[in-house]
Amino acid sequence: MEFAAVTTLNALTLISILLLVGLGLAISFGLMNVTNLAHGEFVTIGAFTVYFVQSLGGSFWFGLLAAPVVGGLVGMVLEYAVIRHLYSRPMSTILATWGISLVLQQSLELAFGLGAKPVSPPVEGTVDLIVAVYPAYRLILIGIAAATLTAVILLVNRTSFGLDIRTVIQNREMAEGVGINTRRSYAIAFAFGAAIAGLAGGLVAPLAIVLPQMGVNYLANAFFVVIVGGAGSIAGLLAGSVFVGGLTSILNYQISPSLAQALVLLAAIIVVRLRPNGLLGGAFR
Amino acid sequence: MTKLILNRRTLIKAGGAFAAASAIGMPGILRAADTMKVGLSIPITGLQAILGETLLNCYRLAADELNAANGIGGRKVELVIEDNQTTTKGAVDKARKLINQDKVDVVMGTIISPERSATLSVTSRAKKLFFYPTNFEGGECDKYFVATGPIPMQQVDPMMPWVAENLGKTIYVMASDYAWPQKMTEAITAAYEKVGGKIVGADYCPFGTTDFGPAFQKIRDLKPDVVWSMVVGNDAVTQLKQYRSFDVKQPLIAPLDEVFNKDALPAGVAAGTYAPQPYWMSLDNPVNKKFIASFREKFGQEKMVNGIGEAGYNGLHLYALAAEKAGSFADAEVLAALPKVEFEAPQGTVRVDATNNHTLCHSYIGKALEDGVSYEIVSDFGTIKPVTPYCTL
Repeated sequence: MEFAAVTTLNALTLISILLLVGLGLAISFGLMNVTNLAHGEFVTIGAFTVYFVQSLGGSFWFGLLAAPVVGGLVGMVLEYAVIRHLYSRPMSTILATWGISLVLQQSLELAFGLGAKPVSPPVEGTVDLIVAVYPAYRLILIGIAAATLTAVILLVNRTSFGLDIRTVIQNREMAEGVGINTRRSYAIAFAFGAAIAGLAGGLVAPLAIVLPQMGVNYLANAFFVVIVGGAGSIAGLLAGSVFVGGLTSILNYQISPSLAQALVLLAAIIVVRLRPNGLLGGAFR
Repeated sequence: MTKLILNRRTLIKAGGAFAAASAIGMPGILRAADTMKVGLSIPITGLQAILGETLLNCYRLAADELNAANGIGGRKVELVIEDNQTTTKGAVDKARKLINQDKVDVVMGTIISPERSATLSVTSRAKKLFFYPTNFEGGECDKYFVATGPIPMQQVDPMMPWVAENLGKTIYVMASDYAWPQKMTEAITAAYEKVGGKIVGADYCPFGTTDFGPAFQKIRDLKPDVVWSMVVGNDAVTQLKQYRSFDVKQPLIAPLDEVFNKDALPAGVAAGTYAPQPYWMSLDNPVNKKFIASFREKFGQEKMVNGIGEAGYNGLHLYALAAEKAGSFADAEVLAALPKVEFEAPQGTVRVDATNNHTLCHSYIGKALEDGVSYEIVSDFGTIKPVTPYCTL
């Protein structure tokens, strides 16, 4: 019983992180077709925001609120300065965003110095859930991830802005024809994706290392869950995160972590071979 | 853009500045006869940047101390500093540059195994002396390779009876997936079984692991007496943060030191952890007190120093003593004199063993204090002679 509970919670933690990092990428890569190799740096920026706020004596929670704001602002500037000029040139986007990621890493290194930055969690210790004892902060992380996912689904499906976005993505010319400002929609969507990545960065900061190069650890996994789940849908992203996160957590307990990682990759290759559009590949839901 | 106007006055000024700059920047060329060169291959950037800076500063301190006296045999020590970026390619390129272009008398530095192996591949072919300061897995054997840090048999073998008696009879190992932790685990297993201990599990996590949850779950189920971590570098930060959040009660042995604890870890995270090291800042002897005081005077009062840095510092001093004894900077002659000299190091007296060019180092177990930075010494095993069945020179 305890084994099942802890395994589930471990899996949920990993799924939450994958989901939040992947959400921003599902929007830019899955929906807008922008292969953004600087996506990991939005995670880094979120984590550094929390570090910066804490280093000035601010609370973790204020830092966590600031993280998506800063991430979103940087995303907005990038979209305006670089990405919007390259929507029709996917290959150039890859090169440009890779360059941006290097520039951001080096800038952070120049501004904050070499090496890891300390971030303290808002709560210490564990919570007794009767069936299992589990770190309090991880439970908070799972809760915030679930809330964010719900909010994004509501935003996309229940608001007029969400309707605009879905229209623009299905057919940009037609959307322009019916009077939607597509440039504005793209800009907002991109910044929104960056903001969620920033939030993810803020959330992982007390849990993992905070370093200018930390984004790399998350970038590959983000593409991984988006592609396995099915680019272009939030349900697909959820499926991809559950598949990768769940399998990793279960295998990691049973066998050596290096082998577990290889097996998860192998399983993903098989999935993509059998279902080229991902587990739930298809239209935007 | 401002217009560049050349007249007699600016030209004279520029010429003067150039001459001054040359005198500072290129003393090796101007005064080749009275300097000797130490080539340093340091991870100034990349994965080991935190430890790299301290190591470099320790070499600077040793060079300044030598230069303040008589240099080495009357020659000033000039450090040629190169950043190997913690990569194998960087280490190979920089070793080649130091040897072929700068014509250094000796190469020193590097921290992790890939940097060391890459550097050694160049220095051993060039028959150039290479002093390596870090504690490592052993297994390297080369006439011109000198290790001033300990190998597993110097750290693990004396330590295991102490662990069995004071911490417990079962150990769970969680480590980064590369050579050093795997060789260390072999050494730990062998030495621990001799005293009735047992390794109940060992997990090697790939570099870049961001979630150690399943490993902590295993620890909870297996209930070992002790957890021995050999997760290194950036991953160690992630792992220790999560170790605390999972509230693991078992004592933790982890390869940490004062520099890493202060610069990379959140405050207090390392508190109560044990580590084997050849050197601790808290060693109570006049040589160490002077070492720390000089280091802080040069590089900042809040700065910490660690075992790797101290071994680098010892290496340069041992080289200086050997070169003076040999009366030469020729590699083979310095090497011949090296086992005959002793250095009063901050850790205690050190010397190089003639049979394998490894150093007779001290072996201490430290326990991190409440602040999670400094260590108290809980056991002192004295000086341990390096014994290497695989290497007889």
